[in-house]
Amino acid sequence: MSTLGSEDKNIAEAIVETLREKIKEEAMRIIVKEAAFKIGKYLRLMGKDFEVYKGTGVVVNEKLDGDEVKVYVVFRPPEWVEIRAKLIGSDELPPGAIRECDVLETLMMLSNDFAELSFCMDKDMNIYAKQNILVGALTFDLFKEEYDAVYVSALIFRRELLPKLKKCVRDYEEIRRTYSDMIT
Amino acid sequence: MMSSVTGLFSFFLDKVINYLKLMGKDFEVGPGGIVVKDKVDDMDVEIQIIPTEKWVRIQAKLDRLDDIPEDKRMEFLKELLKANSDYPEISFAIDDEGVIVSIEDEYVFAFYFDVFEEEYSAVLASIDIYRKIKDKILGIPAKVGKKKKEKEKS
Repeated sequence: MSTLGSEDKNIAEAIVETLREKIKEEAMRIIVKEAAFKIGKYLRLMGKDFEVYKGTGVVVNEKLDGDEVKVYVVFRPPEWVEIRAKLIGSDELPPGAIRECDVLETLMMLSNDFAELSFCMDKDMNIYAKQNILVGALTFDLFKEEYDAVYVSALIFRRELLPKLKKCVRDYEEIRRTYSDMIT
Repeated sequence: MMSSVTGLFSFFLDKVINYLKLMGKDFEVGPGGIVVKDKVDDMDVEIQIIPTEKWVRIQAKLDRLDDIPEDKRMEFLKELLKANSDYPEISFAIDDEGVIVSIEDEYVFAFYFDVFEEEYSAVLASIDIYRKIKDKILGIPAKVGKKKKEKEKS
């Protein structure tokens, strides 16, 4: 029986590694496909209209007090589904106002007080509501609860927090203007 | 605030106890829930588990917000909210006593071992993330800060 030389061994290991990667990719494709199928089914059961972005996820246009909020359901490989809605852009909340109006503290206190609420911020300081589901735990009850949590976060933010923030931002800008006029 | 219902409370308390035993954790059961004694990077931490009507909350208390220097506070909170965005299942919040907490709320309909284990691990992971943020913003290496606190206590 002939034995493999070191070069042959290296080739064999490379082939095994490539196969392993291919199997992993294929497994991931099957998992994502299964999860995507479930998400589509769940959204239809919930009576939601949605648009599909192939390879990324879906977006639902939710009506909220005459306004529109986009709720994104996307995959975060390797094992997460993320439901996310943008609540306010950084262009509407200047950094000074965020500090003066205790925006960050308020969001973090709400996250503690209500299990349904979870707020976060991206690097550009846009504020979102967000929930994650482990792909292995994706069931209708859980999906509906997490989806509704994002919707309720957006609702509470719009109805309760945003008017107060806007007033605070207005007051803050007015004080800033008044005093900068006095200084110049 | 979240409320508890006695029957469901004991049902989920029993489940949590079984799960923690499976995970080989050291814990104490009290009237308000369970306290688990665990370790993150060789440092002792306490994880609280509080079953309520619809949720089982897993949380770790971190620092008092007042203890974060005022001139760094906003930057610090911003980093915590960014971590909420960047990491799945990481959720920093502030409790009604003004303490920064890391929380995971597990919906009772999805309360089974795999999800519990994953969410418990997320709270442990969040403590490490918190320490790194603290180190970055406040310049306090986590281990040095901990040793200093212990020295002050003794």
